[in-house]
Amino acid sequence: MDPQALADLFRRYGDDVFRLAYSYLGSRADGEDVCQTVFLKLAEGGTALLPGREKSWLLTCAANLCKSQLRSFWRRNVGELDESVPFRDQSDRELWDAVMSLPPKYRAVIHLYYWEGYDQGEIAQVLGVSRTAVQTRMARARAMLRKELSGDEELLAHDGAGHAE
Amino acid sequence: MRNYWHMMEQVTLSDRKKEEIMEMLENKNTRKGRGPSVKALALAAALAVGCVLSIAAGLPAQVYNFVAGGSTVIEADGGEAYINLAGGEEAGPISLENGRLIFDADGEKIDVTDKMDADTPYVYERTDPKTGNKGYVVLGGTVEDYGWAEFFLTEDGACSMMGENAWNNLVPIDGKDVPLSELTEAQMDMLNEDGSTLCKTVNRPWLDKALEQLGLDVALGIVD
Repeated sequence: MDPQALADLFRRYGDDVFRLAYSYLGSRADGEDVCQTVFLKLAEGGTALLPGREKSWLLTCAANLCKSQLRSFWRRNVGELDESVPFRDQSDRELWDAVMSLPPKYRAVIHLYYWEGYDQGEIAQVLGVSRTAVQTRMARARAMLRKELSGDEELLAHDGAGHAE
Repeated sequence: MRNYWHMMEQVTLSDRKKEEIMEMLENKNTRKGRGPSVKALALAAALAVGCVLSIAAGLPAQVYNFVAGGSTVIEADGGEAYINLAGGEEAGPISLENGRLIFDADGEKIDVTDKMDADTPYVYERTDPKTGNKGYVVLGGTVEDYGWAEFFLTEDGACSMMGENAWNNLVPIDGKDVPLSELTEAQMDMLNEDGSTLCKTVNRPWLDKALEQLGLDVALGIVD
């Protein structure tokens, strides 16, 4: 892939890859590293992206890298940097904290549903798990969020119509 | 409004990272442009010389060049820190020469053999000749088992630190604390599967003594 096409893909989807990685890993630094690695893999060549499926490939690649990181023993033995997101509203901060309190695999499902607008089948494909697993994770994540947000279900009432490609 | 989309819209890559990745893609330069990330650093540290960071936010960018080689940068944007390790496993300001421990203090050779032991540190306050920033080199141990640590502190309390044989990372295995470096491959696999085991960092007595002498309250621990 030529450099210009790569740069275009990054401009278009870079933030989305980062958002998934950040949500999944709960760390800005790790999210940025994963995002960089995803595009690095593309730059290294050997990957043929199907037209219209670029974003799906990028997110799947990011999810795989996130899973690898979470399996790493090193990652579980580290502290956190101060890397808070400067949200405009306090309610955004509360929601972020609530989502970040979920286990990583639940966060990924929530993110792909509410931000990307993916259905359960698409989420299963990106994460490499069964639809049943996605259903289970979604139900548990929602229950935990409901509890964490003290019954405020505005988030949960969202129809999941994100901005999928 | 509690809305995931509204919240997530505000989560974007930093401008610095965007520029870095764009540069990498446009030049097809697949080498990361800056020094190792904090995560990469910690991994290198765990495998090589060991490294500890504690970072406070909102700091002005400051550079410190370690006497051991390499440098650290603590940037203003969110308190991010980078360390460029130079020399890898061979980095270090102290060496054993003819049975004596010799400290290389910016070119000046100092025999520290009789000035430190397992409980007594040798503390050297230095000024980075390139930036004027102040740091500390702490040495300790004996000819049989010696180590060093060097750290740079900003006025805001941020700390970048690197060292070797200055602390142990211990992992509880069957009720016994085992140094991380001594784990077998099978034990590492088991820990990776388990996922709940945490390792703890225990300083060498001479490092603790030095921190106490200097009145430094440095939060130690491997940082990713």
